[in-house]
Amino acid sequence: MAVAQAGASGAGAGRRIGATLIELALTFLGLLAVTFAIGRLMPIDPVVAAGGADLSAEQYARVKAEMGLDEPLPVQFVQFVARLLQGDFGRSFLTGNPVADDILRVFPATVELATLGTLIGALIGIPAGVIAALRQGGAVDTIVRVLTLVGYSMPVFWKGLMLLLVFYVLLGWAEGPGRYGVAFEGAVPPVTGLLLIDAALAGDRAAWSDAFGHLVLPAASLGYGAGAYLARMTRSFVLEQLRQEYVTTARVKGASEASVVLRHVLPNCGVQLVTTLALTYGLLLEGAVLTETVFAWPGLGQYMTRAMFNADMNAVLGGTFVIGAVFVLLNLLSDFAYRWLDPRAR
Amino acid sequence: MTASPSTRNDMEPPATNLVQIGITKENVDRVARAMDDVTFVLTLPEAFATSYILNMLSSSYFGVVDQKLLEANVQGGDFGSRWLSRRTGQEPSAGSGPFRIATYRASDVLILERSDGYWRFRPPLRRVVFRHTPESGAQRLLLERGDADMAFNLTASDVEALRGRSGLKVELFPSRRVFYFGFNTANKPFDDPRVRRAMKHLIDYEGLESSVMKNLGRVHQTFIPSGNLGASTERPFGFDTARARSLLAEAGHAQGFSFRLHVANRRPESDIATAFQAAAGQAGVKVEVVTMPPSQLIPMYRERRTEALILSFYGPYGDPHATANKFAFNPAALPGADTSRAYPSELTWRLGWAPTELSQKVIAASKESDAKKRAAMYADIQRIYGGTSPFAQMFQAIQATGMRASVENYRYGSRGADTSFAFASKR
Repeated sequence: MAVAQAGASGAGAGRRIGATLIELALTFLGLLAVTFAIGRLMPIDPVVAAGGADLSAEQYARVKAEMGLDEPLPVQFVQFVARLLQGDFGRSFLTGNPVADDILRVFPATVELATLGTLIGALIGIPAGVIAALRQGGAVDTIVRVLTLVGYSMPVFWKGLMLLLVFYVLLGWAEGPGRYGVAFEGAVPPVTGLLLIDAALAGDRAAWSDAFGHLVLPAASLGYGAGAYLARMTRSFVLEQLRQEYVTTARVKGASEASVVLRHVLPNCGVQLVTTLALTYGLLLEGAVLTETVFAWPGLGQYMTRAMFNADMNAVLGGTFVIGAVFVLLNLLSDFAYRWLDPRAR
Repeated sequence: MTASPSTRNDMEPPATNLVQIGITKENVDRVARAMDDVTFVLTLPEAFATSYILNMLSSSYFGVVDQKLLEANVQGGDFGSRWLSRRTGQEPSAGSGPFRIATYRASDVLILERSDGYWRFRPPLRRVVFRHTPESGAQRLLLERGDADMAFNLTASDVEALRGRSGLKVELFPSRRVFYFGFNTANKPFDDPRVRRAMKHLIDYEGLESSVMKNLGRVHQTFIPSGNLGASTERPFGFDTARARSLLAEAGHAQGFSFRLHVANRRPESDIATAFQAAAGQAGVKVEVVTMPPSQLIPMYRERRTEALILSFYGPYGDPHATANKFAFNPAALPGADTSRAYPSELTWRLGWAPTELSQKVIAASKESDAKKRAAMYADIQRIYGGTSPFAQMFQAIQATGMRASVENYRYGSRGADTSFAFASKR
């Protein structure tokens, strides 16, 4: 009987994995179709973008044929998917490199920045949100709400420049724009592309300190915005749970306030918090473009923006696909986290 | 690693760069020949002005390269150009200039290292490092802190803020970029030269120079950038609403008219458009400003789908022909030309302007070897052009460069080839 149950459970898990994989494949196909459609519907001319404004009529026709843009759209889509399946996003005409190589270079920079930004945001925002909820209407709550409002409303450009002015120029506590100092160019052999990890792997303490010094201000800038969002969301999740009857029951039974929060309230906010965190992380991976611009951070946001302004369509499509894939994967991870946090979802 | 010593043989240039003076892939071996290690002979299929050829050959588009190295990297008869454009810092440099590219990552960093074998002298700087810093404010902070010695993309307000600061200096160099309006003569009412002249009187040149273009450009009303042979310094058009109204009335538009102005979504073009919109309103002309990325605007321009637009043009080399053949020449206007075909590469064709006399004068000026006569020919071309053309040149851009006071002898020239770090040093 136990064996039969185990077999049934195994078959169920297999079905679930199969269903998830099919769902993923369909999602990616949809993502590719949307990405391709964006590339073709945008009111720009990739031939002029690649060949230059001074192309003659004959040169234009030749470049168009070379880019495969004279084929019917369905054929172009099939070619696009076939190339992508081989990891070929085409070549960026702005950088002259294969887009896949460019993305492998710029995406780790964004991952490093967004990860530290999310960490800072979570470490500050979640506790601040919990405390504000517990002290609803009090001085702490007011301070948290004001600070989060400022975090929301402060323009990213201004915030970045102020951080640079104070901590880089006036106090000299942090490094300036860029991902590393000029003296460290080529000092760390790239392994993961994440400079902090690569410097640690190389055992180069000076390079690690330099990289961290450059990372801390843009990450703090992003982290403040993310922390403001997380604090407000956490506050509302906790307030909602504090009104539930199980909290009253726990208090009546004599549970301490710390126990009520840590053992009852926070676990019940877990699912919502994971979703919010995943979304925040995804948005920082995608939308750190202004921070990357102010801090001269050579990441995906800057790469995509430059590509879009110059109609470098291979780079735009490659970047869009990567961002889409990140959201799909974060969504998948959130689903796994739900099942782990909430037995009802299993 | 340094490039191997260059000889005359290395001067034989890539055919693709010389097409416009009649040198093609087919005849390049015959017309561009190295006679010995110190003599290079270029036999032109047609007689052109010596100054035109020298200005073109001395522009940054041309360079003496290592012939053997390029020959070893030829792909499909491309003269090694694909390899040159994708060469990594680890590969040997084919150049013969004072610096070689040691590292290049687009939108990140460019490192130039001194070529110790440079044939002229030993450049004082061992290394020049360019960090891609898109934000002007961040460039300014790097400069103030001393982590950067020079900043090239400062906004007008940052230039103002840096002026007079101890240990810093700002130098303004004239650039080859000229900002212009274009009015499509294929559309009414811009087919009427009086309407086009009226538009030129509705631009507040001096007002814009002291506001939007402060530290970014100076009034310049012709297509030849100052610093180039024959450039006119005259200002035939002033901001004059009454004159514009009278010209419009003469053309039968006393009540004004309306049109759509396409503008790139960047400064200063978008600011110029807004100011023009207000000024044109005073003459009863309603302007709808449509901003869009250049990548969207250029194809519209090529397809003659713009009524009017604001753009800038950067002459590819420091000779009057570089801009005359774009603004005052239309191949479709020449006798015997096939007028049924499209010429989307020509700015004049894009605006439906086919000036036969001017086009012929432009060709004649490119072939005049006497420099004085040539300058006079361009003066004549610019005079005719100003009164009739659908282009309204407004400003010649300024390259504002912020520097640490310790930087000396950096050279920037509007002719292109004279821009160099070769002589630059740090005290």
